Amino acid sequence: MANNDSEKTMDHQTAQRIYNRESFLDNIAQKLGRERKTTPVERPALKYRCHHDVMADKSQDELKAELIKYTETALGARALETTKAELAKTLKSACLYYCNNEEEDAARQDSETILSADERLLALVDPTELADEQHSVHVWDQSAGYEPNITIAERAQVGVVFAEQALAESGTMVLYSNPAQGRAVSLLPEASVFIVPQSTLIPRLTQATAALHEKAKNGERIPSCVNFISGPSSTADIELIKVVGVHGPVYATYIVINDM
Amino acid sequence: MKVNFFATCLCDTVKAEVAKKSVVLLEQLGCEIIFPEKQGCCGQPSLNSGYIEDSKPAMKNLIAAFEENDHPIVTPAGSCAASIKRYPEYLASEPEWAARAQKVADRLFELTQFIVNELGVENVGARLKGRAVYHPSCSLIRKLGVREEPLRLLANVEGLEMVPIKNQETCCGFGGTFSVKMSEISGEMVKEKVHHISAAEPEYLIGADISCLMNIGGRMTREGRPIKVLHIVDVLMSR
Amino acid sequence: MSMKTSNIKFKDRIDVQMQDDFMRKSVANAQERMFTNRAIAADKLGNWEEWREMGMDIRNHVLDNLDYYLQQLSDNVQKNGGHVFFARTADEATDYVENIVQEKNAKKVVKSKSMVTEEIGLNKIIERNNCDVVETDLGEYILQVDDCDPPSHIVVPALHKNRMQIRDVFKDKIDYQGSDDPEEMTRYVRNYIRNDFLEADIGITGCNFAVAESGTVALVTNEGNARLATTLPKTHIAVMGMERIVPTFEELDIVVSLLCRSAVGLPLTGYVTALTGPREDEHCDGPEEFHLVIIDNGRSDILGSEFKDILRCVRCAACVNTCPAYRHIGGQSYGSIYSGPIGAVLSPLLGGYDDFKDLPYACSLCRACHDVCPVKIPLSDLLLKHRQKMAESKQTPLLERASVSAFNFINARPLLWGNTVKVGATMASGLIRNGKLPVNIGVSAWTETRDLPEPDGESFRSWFKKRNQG
Repeated sequence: MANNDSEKTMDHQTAQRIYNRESFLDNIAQKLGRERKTTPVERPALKYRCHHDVMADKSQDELKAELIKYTETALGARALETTKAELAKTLKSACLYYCNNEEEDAARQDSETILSADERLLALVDPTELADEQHSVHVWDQSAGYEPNITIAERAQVGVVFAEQALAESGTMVLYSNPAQGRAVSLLPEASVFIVPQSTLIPRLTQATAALHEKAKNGERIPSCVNFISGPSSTADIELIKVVGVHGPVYATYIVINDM
Repeated sequence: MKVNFFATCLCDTVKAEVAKKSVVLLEQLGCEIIFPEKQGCCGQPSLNSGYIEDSKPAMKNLIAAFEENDHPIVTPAGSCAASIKRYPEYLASEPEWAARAQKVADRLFELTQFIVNELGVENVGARLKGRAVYHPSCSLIRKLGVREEPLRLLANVEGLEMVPIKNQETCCGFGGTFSVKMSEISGEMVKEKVHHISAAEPEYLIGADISCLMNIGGRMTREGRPIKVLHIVDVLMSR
Repeated sequence: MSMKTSNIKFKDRIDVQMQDDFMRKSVANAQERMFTNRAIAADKLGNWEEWREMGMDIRNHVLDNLDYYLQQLSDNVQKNGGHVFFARTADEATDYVENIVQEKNAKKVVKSKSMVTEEIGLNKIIERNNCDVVETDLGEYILQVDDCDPPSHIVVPALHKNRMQIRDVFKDKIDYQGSDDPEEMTRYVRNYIRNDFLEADIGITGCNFAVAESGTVALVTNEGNARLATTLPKTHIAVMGMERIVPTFEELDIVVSLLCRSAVGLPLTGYVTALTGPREDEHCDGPEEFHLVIIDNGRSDILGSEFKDILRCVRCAACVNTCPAYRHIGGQSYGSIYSGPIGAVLSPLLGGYDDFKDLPYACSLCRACHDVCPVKIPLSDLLLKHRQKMAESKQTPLLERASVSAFNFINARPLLWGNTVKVGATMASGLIRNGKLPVNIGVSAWTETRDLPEPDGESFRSWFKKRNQG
């Protein structure tokens, strides 16, 4: 009888959006030969520390070197370094790199870049500095809603985002979704450009997941989309032959800001 | 030192030379061989087909056969040794028998394992001139963890040149009743194994499990390959 | 499609498959590359055995406390505004999804690769509501377009197809006029289904690992299709096998690191995407509605059985890439969407022995798979357990049971055994000539490809007795 009551209470609490949980979990407990565990379980500590030791001894400069090396050799993506002062110039040339016509002599086509409105990025770069006669720059406009932003992102040749962190071991950019930086910016355009301060480079996934774990432990809501992006999209589904550029971006450039 | 010998059913019936040579080799290395006559088959044909319950009387008989003394037990077959070492697991529901099985399993050694690790011998004074490929059986390397011992013994055979092959550690396709029940798959696996062995153009194929050797050897003769199949004890007794 | 992919008998299936030279060469090459890449990646990371042990421990801990972690997960998904449907059976799950499809009056669904959705036969259910389902993962797309040809590998489902065959399928079904160059074909598909992503009402994905502490679903992909499917459509449904969960992001690190290296030899795949609930209010893109469908479909029975270890599986297919049997018969021989060693263990558990009784025997017990499993599942031991269950419930052939019975009878009786050996040795040396018996009774399976061994003559025990008496 007690079980029934708690089921009723649980159902009321979860009345809106959890369905069929109690009988499902009761069944699991029964199959495990014990009562339900409903209070927090003690997580055993991991037996080893090898994941923390990877590249633990490397300086930020060394992590940057690892990141660039891996990106260029294994990912088929570009990695550039710049300074705060030079960022606009580097970024513009990175965008235009993807906007040029195949034939060198041919006239440049009209092109568009969509820029994340992440305040950290806009603090470093004035969108007008990136634009010229043939290259228009749109900034993600969260007040405009889904349609307009997606339309531009789908049309644009390049999408520029600001990364939370970068993982040296795997050439990975870490993106947290935020209202000013839509998911589509690093997804719809054929070319993706990521900007990351050198100070936020970390050895590997371990440190990035530790940060997310801290958030969760503190009861913070994790951003609805956290992406670990390593280069452009790819597949090996046809005869195990690697093809770069499938449904996601076809090209990627990482820009590390040395003095940040 | 006194040593019990577990002949294995295959050696007892069709490949007695391997058992004989094992005995003579051990005697040459200073062992006095006891052959407990009550021994039967390790039971793999039944056990590996899942008939664990049915195999229990035979397992118990085998355990009892080796309880007549406390001396080590040596066998020239990795798969049989590995099978017996699982008896405690198979008999887990009968703790008394499981304990007895464990005692027997702890005294049990595969031949090369015994010679190298227990007798401390790596050179038995063998001589065999020629190019050879070694086939490490799955039971030996993956179930018993016996990787180095045969290689060390072979390295000391005068005149013998060991050559590697592609996919050396891949299963030869015997798998006991697998070779009959799934003979199509087994056949393809052994063909691939022979293909890789032949590519190295050896004179000899050497292994420590007679079952694998029968399997690979059977395919090689079918293909008319001139490669001679030797159990490692054949090599070690070669002068 | 459901888990079962063929009504043909096992032996007939492998007969056909083994004649497909392209498939066999393709599988052998793929195995070699994937096996090597996995080894290189593991080596580069270092301390691989420690990683594997942590992986095993994490998965075991979760299984032992699965009810708690699913409770925590669902609480968190709800807290973030998502829905959680617990489905005991495949039907419950497909009913729930069908309700959403109907409620939304959905006309198009884009799906990223999810084996559990194939297991429950989801696509057919959606399609009967006048709603198109587009498999957007390139390998799955090829198979879907080719009249739902079954997958032959967990990670590379179209491995059995060569580029010419793919070109022909595309020419036939999607108006493709180009060459068989993989890049050209891939670009064509990108353009061909681009609008499907933009127009879709619902995006459906699987779930590589859910994170209990935050209500997160993590997807491990390369192509970008899962990102598109979870960014553009207004509704996202994630379908999850109930055991695919870790307690916190700390454990996610370990299992994702093991998975990516074991599956494709990379430290991370192109996209590891952690999705937590529907998008927040101020965001523009991302789903407005999120549903997590958690599926049992027989997994709880496995949890309470001697096969529990198989639920540690992270679906990396390292075992598939190592198995010599798989190399020769290919994935479609298994008659299940799950092939290779994992398929041989899991398919009978989820689908029963009637349909999958042959799979546990399609293995020489070589244990190569044990060495590569990132979470240390003793796969061949589990296959042996299947054989034990079938033997003890008398589902094995009568002749086999009779022979084994006779063998065990003799083997348990020393005198009888001893005499049988002596007689057997004599008979063998008398009858086997040039590797053949005069009448091929009971050994034809062997002698089809091999000669019988050359008998040495007298039995060992006779020799030993004589020598020691003399």
